[in-house]
Amino acid sequence: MSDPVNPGNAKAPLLEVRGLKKYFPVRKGLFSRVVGQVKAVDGLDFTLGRGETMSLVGESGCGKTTAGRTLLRLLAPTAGQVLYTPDPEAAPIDIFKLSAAEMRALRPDLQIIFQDPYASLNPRITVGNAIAEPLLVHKVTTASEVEDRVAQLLERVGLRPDVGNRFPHEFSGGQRQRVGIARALALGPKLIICDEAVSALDVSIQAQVINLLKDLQEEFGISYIFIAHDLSVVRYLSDSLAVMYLGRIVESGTAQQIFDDPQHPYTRALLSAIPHADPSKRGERIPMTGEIPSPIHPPSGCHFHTRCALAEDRCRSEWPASVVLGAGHQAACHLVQSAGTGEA
Amino acid sequence: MSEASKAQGEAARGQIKGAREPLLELRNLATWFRTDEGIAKAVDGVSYQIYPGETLGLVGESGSGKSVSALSIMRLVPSPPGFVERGEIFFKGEPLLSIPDEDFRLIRGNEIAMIFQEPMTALNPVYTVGDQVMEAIILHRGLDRVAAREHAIKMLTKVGIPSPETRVDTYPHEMSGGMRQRVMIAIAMSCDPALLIADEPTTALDVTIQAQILDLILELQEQAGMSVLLITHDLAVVAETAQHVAVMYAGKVVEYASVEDLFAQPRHPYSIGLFRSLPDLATQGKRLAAIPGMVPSATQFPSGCRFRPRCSIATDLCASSEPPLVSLEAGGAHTVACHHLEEARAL
Ligand SMILES: Nc1ncnc2c1ncn2[C@@H]1O[C@H](COP(=O)(O)OP(=O)(O)OP(=O)(O)O)[C@@H](O)[C@H]1O
Ligand SMILES: Nc1ncnc2c1ncn2[C@@H]1O[C@H](COP(=O)(O)OP(=O)(O)OP(=O)(O)O)[C@@H](O)[C@H]1O
Ligand code: SF4
Ligand code: SF4
Ligand SMILES: [Mg+2]
Ligand SMILES: [Mg+2]
Repeated sequence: MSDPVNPGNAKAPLLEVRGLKKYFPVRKGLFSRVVGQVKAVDGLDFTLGRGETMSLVGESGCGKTTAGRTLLRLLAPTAGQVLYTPDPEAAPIDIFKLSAAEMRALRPDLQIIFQDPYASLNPRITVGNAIAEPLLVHKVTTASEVEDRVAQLLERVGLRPDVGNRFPHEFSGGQRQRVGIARALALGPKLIICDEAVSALDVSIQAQVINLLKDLQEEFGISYIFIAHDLSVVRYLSDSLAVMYLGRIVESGTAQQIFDDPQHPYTRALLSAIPHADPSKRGERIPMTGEIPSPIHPPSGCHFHTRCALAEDRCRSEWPASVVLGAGHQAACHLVQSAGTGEA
Repeated sequence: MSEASKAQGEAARGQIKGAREPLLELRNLATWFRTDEGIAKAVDGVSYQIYPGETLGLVGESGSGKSVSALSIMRLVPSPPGFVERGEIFFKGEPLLSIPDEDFRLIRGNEIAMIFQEPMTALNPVYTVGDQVMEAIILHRGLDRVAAREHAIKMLTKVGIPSPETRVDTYPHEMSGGMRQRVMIAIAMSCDPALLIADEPTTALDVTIQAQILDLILELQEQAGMSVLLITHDLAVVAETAQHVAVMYAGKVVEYASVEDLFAQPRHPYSIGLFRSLPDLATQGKRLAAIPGMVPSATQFPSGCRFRPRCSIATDLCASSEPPLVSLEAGGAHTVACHHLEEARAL
């Protein structure tokens, strides 16, 4: 687990997601008849490299949380494939094809932390026991060693080992987030999904937790899928990112490609909405009127056409296919020009 | 942000040098709470000024007393357990705290209006948005229901609610978070307040909707010439909207400056740490310079300077004496509360 990342293996991705879909039924009336579907996640493709961080960004309700939970099989997928390759020498594991028992055996590898770990911590269980629980359930530590291991984990996330016998309400937000990280870390994960994990924290505390996440990545080679609405944090942490709109990825690429050379009109509008911490840069924004439409009745053609300043006739009828713009850089818009023979 | 409003900001700053009277001024305000753990000194000797037509950005860590200072202005601090221990609030030169409650009702919602972070809790779920916009207009402007409804529709149009004639009859839960915040702004603006207090008005919203709401506030401010107290934890939002900034820490203002001065060179060790904690291009790939430790509890502030346990240049003096808020240069607008400003420059 403490092996440094081997850069030679960087080519074999840890995770490959293909055509991931998650639809929720919309029910109505006395007999809960299914009257429609929310296409919360509607065909995602992306890869995540070893020891790398990929971010999912986009407005509230675009499907980030659903995507994260579905690819870990915490929600039953509607369609798609997730190939997980913990050992680059071995064949990939097709996560959605595993039996329940096989999936359970894989759980330690795949962890998720939430915005408020308070909600996922039992208020009547000490944080020490909360961290010990997965260790004992998955039998990775014997009962006699567990106390030492918990103390070690608490120390690793910057908490005093003796806080283990305290209860969650005795901790501040930043400390609770550290407990959540210690818990996720306990089983030696290869992948952690951080769903708004630093969003509720103060800037100074947020910086402490971001540093911790980076240190752990360097030390253990963990990969992150980072879900956040603060784009400056995303830029700071990500190797790559995917911009989502109404359940689909509209643009993806390296953090540098997306931030320095955004091509999709939605990405451009989203980035221009970020305020700058520099009073001399009070800039013009790309106007984007209205709000994200309901995913129950998504607009026809390009989902973004109801808010896009550049929309033309075909945008209202034809969904634009993803166009390769450069190595690893793609966008789905009728107006972007293909880079020809991109080697994505 | 338009050229016009930049120019207006410029003009406003020019006027300050000509010693303009603040619209609102907190002078040494202390608002405390009686709690099981003892007295929580949530706001403990806070002074700041808001000038006509300007925005003051109020920033600081969670629990530093930003909201309590605003609620004190609005007389909305729950009491008990809260009470004003000392200090005064001046509005248009008049001491606010000595006005009787009945008279203050004519000011609240009329001359001073407030919008909150979570519009759902501030809006009443059983009344239509129209009724709620009309309420303030009927109370303060004495219009009848027909005229008030007309005015409500005008306000909803102004804040960018699509099809306001039908929306006026819908309930808050039928609207998105961004729309509800627009309704809150419509209510707050309906009586042309001289001061709008916006407590984290965009924190719960997406950046795209945040941009729309901030632009709306700036636009309405330009039209009406009102002042804004903008409470936020986001320094970038302050950079885009405010003319002055007050940085709070543990119930105190530790630094007050024009937005240009503060962003060019923060002087208090806490402000310096706050800017360093921001992930941005300059820090790309490097470790963030996080401020170690955490905010002390309002019932147990450390002696002397309250930032001391987290400050890398603290001395014995910092433990024994509380640094006062003083001007960097005589008569200047940039004030800082730190014993060791020279050492802080080297941080
Ligand atoms: N259990 C569910 N049943 C029905 N619809 C759901 C369910 N969970 C999510 N949805 C819908 O799926 C869509 C995507 O939701 P999701 O929570 O994934 O968005 P998100 O991008 O994480 O948003 P946020 O930034 O607000 O967290 C939304 O329209 C949501 O209402
Ligand atoms: N009703 C109350 N009873 C007791 N203590 C209170 C009460 N309201 C506020 N406080 C205390 O006052 C202090 C300041 O709170 P305040 O809400 O002003 O912080 P803030 O700066 O607005 O923080 P945030 O950024 O989290 O909104 C906190 O320590 C809080 O616990
Ligand atoms: S396809 Fe058309 S509507 Fe969609 S983003 Fe491109 S230009 Fe805009
Ligand atoms: S007064 Fe002392 S402890 Fe407080 S900020 Fe200044 S140097 Fe640090
Ligand atoms: Mg989510
Ligand atoms: Mg507050």
